[in-house]
Amino acid sequence: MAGAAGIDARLFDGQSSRPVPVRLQVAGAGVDLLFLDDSGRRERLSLADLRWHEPLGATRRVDLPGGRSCEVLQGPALSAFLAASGHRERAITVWQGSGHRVLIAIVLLLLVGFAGYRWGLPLVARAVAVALPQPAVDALDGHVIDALDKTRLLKPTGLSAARRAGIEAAVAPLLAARSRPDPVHLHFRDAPDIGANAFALPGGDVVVTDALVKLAPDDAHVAAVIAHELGHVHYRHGLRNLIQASLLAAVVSLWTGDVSTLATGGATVLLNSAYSRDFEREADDYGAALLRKTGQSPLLLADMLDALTRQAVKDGKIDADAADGHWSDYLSSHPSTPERIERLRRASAS
Amino acid sequence: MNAPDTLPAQVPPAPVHDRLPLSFTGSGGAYFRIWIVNVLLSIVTLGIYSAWAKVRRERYFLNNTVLDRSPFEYHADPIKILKGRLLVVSVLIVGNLASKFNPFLNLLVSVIFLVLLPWMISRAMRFRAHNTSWRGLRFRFTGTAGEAAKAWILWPIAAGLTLGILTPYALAAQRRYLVNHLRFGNEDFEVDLPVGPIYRMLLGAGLVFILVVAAFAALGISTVMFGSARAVGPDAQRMAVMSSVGFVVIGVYVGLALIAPYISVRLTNLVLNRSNLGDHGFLSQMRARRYMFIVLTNWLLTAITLGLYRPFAVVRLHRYRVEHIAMLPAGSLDDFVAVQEAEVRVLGEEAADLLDIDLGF
Repeated sequence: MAGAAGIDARLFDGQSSRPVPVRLQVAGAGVDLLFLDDSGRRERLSLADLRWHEPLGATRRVDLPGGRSCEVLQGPALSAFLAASGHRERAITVWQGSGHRVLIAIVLLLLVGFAGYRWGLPLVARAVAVALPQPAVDALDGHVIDALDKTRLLKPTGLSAARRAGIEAAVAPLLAARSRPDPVHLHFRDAPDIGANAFALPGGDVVVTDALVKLAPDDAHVAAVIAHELGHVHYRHGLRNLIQASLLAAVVSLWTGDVSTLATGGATVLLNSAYSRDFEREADDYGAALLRKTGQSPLLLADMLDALTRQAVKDGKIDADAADGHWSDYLSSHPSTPERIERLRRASAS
Repeated sequence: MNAPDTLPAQVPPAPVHDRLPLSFTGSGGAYFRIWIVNVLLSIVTLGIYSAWAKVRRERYFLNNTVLDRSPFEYHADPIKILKGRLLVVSVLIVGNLASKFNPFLNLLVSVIFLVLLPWMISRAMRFRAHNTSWRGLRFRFTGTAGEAAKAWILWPIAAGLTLGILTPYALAAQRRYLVNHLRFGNEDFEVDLPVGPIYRMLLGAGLVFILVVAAFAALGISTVMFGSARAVGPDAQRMAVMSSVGFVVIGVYVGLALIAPYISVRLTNLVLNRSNLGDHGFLSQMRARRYMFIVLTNWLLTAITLGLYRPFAVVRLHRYRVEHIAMLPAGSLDDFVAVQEAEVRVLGEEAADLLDIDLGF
């Protein structure tokens, strides 16, 4: 046996907490288990009988047949024993042991994180939003609009029935020109806290505020804004936003772990606002295309964007810097208005 | 063959100490390597690997927590954890989505989780205990969901109805449940927990909390006074009120951030110092101020490093906890004997884990 590698260990039989001193000795194709207590027993084990646990602590554990296990101190003696017995470490142990492989892991992590945020998350959200059946999506808005009506946010409209019918008539060709006839309900509401605005709910219903209708020179202009909202409905932006926000919140809270939910929420809002900017551009393009299809100019929408922005500045909802598209635009959910108007001008010229 | 003098000091029977401190042999750097590989693989496999990651994390911390020269071991099967995780995650997603579709479902989902909470707690403790071992012997937990319901539902309701006066009874009932049903081999853990010290502890914590919130409220009110001197109109006034409410909310957050670690330390000390395993006792000597300092600086460093400090933070806190706990053995620790028991399911543990239910162990 001279020259063969051996290592001392403490054996536990799984029946009591009393340690038994043993020695593991490489012998040919197997391992001899020598009991160093009074019994002087000796056992022959095959290499396959020894199940080494991942080396994570100061001692390493190896499971033996019969529910027994050994604790072996980490160190050169164990390394020599493992080399002599022909044990091969698992890939994960090798990765963690090497400094530059850990560095590679960090770089990969950053790349995967960026790609996941930039492309993965929108892709997943879109897939889920498209996969949701239409009845489920329709059911969504009934509750949302009921809930909104109960708050002080939305009040019954003050518009005359004739005005509403006029807008409905202006919107009808737009609805008919769509490639996919998703059911869309128009809701007119008075919303002093929101101001002049229109928004699409996740399920595809569109809410138009009285202030917006009053701001518009005619029904065609209101319909142009609704064309933009129909873009949101077509691409299911509201639903995708909902799904993205949920996924993002989950990922951020997983990453930061025990950091407070306040910080998590803040980070999520910041990261998620970029998606909304993409959505706005998409909806603008859709609205412009729809307007051209019905023989109208995308400039109608551009005019309304301009008027809405000026109204918002006047109401103190946004400041002039934001309207001009300064740095604060990075935090806002919409792209800067000049940029959007320029885009719509190009759409009407082409 | 090597000379026998290279034998580690394992052959002579362990001498009987009057105090056996727990030690932690891990380091932030070593855990960082494990953590970064875990995170990367979990992301690349779309979360599948997280079950293996959890096992490796638990193993790292338990393997490096050493009592009387023997580390603790973790035995959970990653496949089982994965199955439990998938089920719980899908229930959470469905529940979350359903609550967004319908506010009434939201209430229903909350009620269902509240009803399931005791069950999750008893199962989580069972799973953890069963999968933790020391010197080849497993821990066991025998608490039932019914008893957990008393401690986590009935007592908190009683505490709420009495405007918090009975809170220490709820806390004591919860700690008693967690300790008194824990076994190691053939011996039982026991705790003799009076409510008096818990009252004193909570009064101290409450005082700190009120002072912090009051300080923030004062700050908010002074801002409003200053602001309203030049602002006119209902909009500006509403903004002022909103901002002062915001100050109070931040105050509540800061107050909770300060007293949560304080209560955690005091309660752990109290419970461990009054617990025993058979004839063996325990000693826990954590200092609240030091612990709060570690928790707050951990948060700060984790935020500054965008989360990269997290593995170091976890190790730092774990090390502080472990190294201030000691066992007071009544004799040799070699005489524990195994007791047969049945297999344990993973579901409650994963539910509790993913819902971030802190059992304080």
